Amino acid sequence: MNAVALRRTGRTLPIAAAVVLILLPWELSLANQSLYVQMGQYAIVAVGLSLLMGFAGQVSFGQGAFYLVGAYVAGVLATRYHWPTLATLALAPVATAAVAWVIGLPLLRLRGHYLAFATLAVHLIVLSLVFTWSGVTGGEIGLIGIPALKIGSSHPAGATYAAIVWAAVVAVALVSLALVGSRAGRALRAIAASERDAAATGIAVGAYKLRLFVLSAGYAGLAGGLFTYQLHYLSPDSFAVILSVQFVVMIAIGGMGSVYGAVFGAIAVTLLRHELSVLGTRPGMPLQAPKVLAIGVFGLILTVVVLFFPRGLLPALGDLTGRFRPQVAEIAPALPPMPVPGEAERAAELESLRGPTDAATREAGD
Amino acid sequence: MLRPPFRAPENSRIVVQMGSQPALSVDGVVKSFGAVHAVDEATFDVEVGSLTCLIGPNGAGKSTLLNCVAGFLRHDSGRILLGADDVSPWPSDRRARAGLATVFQTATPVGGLDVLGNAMVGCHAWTRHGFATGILRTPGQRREEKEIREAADEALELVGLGPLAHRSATTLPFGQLRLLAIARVLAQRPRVLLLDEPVAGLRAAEKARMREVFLDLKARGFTQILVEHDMQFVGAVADRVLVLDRGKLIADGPPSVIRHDARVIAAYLGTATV
Ligand SMILES: Nc1ncnc2c1ncn2[C@@H]1O[C@H](COP(=O)(O)OP(=O)(O)O)[C@@H](O)[C@H]1O
Ligand SMILES: [Mg+2]
Repeated sequence: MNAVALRRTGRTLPIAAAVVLILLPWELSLANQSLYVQMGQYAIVAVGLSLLMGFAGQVSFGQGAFYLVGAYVAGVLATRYHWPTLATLALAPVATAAVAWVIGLPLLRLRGHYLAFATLAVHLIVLSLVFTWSGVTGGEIGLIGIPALKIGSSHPAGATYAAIVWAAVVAVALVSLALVGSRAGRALRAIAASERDAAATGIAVGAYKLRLFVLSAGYAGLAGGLFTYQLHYLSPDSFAVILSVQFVVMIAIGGMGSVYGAVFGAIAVTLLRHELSVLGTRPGMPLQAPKVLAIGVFGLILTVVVLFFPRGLLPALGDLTGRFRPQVAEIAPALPPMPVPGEAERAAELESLRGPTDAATREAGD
Repeated sequence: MLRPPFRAPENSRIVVQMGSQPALSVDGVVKSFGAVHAVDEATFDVEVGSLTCLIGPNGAGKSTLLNCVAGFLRHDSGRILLGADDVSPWPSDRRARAGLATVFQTATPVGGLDVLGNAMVGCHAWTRHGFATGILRTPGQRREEKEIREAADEALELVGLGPLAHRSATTLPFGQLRLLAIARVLAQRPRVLLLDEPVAGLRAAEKARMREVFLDLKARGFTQILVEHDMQFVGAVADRVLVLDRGKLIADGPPSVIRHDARVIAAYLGTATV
């Protein structure tokens, strides 16, 4: 099979999958349609977070905050300022990206745990702003009376709306795959491998990390906008901190840096969350049961993955099913450094320095 | 054929252009950590096309000096010139784009890319397409991508990794990873190559291969600076040896002269310690 044919067959499966995902809503019940819309929204956020974690090595517990910003930008502009709904949906990712750019400048100086905590703090701050600006956001009561999305003269709802959301998922996936396969994608991978080596190659590490942070926030903002026109009602309850944790769990399941894995993780976690809430709201369960169950199960998944499957659950399964390839070099860079020459070796080094060059050449040529 | 951007006429094997501008100038560079003068007033020029080895006892300040030149440490005073440019205030990535290529001892391969992809990373220094055009796959972007692939292929050929171009980089053995790190910086089209202990931990056959690579690069006119512990290797490749001891340059000359320098011998035997 020649390369072109190989590439074509390699593309058939993703294209078929995309078509199925977009057309699936018409086969679903009304209740399942709304669950499916939620999966799509989460998948969009997860793809961005997967890139951020896998390519820039940044763990963000703040994606829920960007989801919130996108949702409120669309909702407030459409409801309070009567902007055309489609325009607000287009502006949601742009405005969210702008917010991420402003807070990313100082935030991305932090790394690892510090960045994780700082992004978590961003989520809390954004939530408290929603309460503070209740005149605009509706505060605790929520933003009500959000108009329906209008495209041309139609108001897509039900299966059509779900298809639009999943078309957005496909678009986000395509954009992400294109990015990953480009010069910028290689630069981001290099940053993930070693920031020092990346800088030594001329990559502006900080600027690239910021751009990816902004892009991932833009995705979350788009998903938030799609959320707004699903429910026509926004309340801070929909954006609790557990949401940000949930996005990280999706990546823990789907694996970092994988676009397909992120979509899979989003689907799996949304289903899990749904089952947990069904379980938690059964008669006799305490009022807090759904929340406590979600926190407990997500916490457990994160712990197990971090401890036993650091590359993610899905990649680990892939290894088990015979796609294992030895990862020699993942061990090689961690080889112990060469012993530091002591006094005796110094003398030996000097000896070798004094030795005739041709002897050195012969030895090296062995 | 891959060659450094600013080089001498085609046929001159070793280029010592008298009176021409040095490839790199280190001028009175000082770097202290608290009370430790890790690098103390180091001054030297590196000729275009030369292979210079920086040696010295452990703790002499070699890595510190290399990091100052590459921009990973900011020196306290003095100047570092790449060609005519004073790069002292520049961050490391800008120095790299200006032609300073650094290979660290622990050169980590980039996961998720094959060997060719890893070499392509090096081309970042002289290419320009970013997020937007990368996503849109504009004709200009695709043209650049093709150019990148060709330059990376060439760099791999140069270190002998051409046949492994489509292997996963993370599965390469240690010695070949070093060669890949060198291919990556060659793809950078560097004016000056800085290498920190490039043969440390390699077996004899791998060292021999490395020696061929460095001599080949020298023949092609690349300017190379090696920090090296392996004295046999230094003797086999160096045009010139700089000896650092407790931050100070104590000797400078061809290997044959350095071998007999009393101060060098004293420094290595530790008798120079007061
Ligand atoms: N980051 C640092 N902080 C404090 N001291 C350092 C640091 N890096 C190097 N040094 C000190 O500077 C001196 C030179 O170290 P180094 O450049 O690593 O030497 P070499 O590479 O020649 O073995 C040593 O005394 C070392 O302890
Ligand atoms: Mg050192």
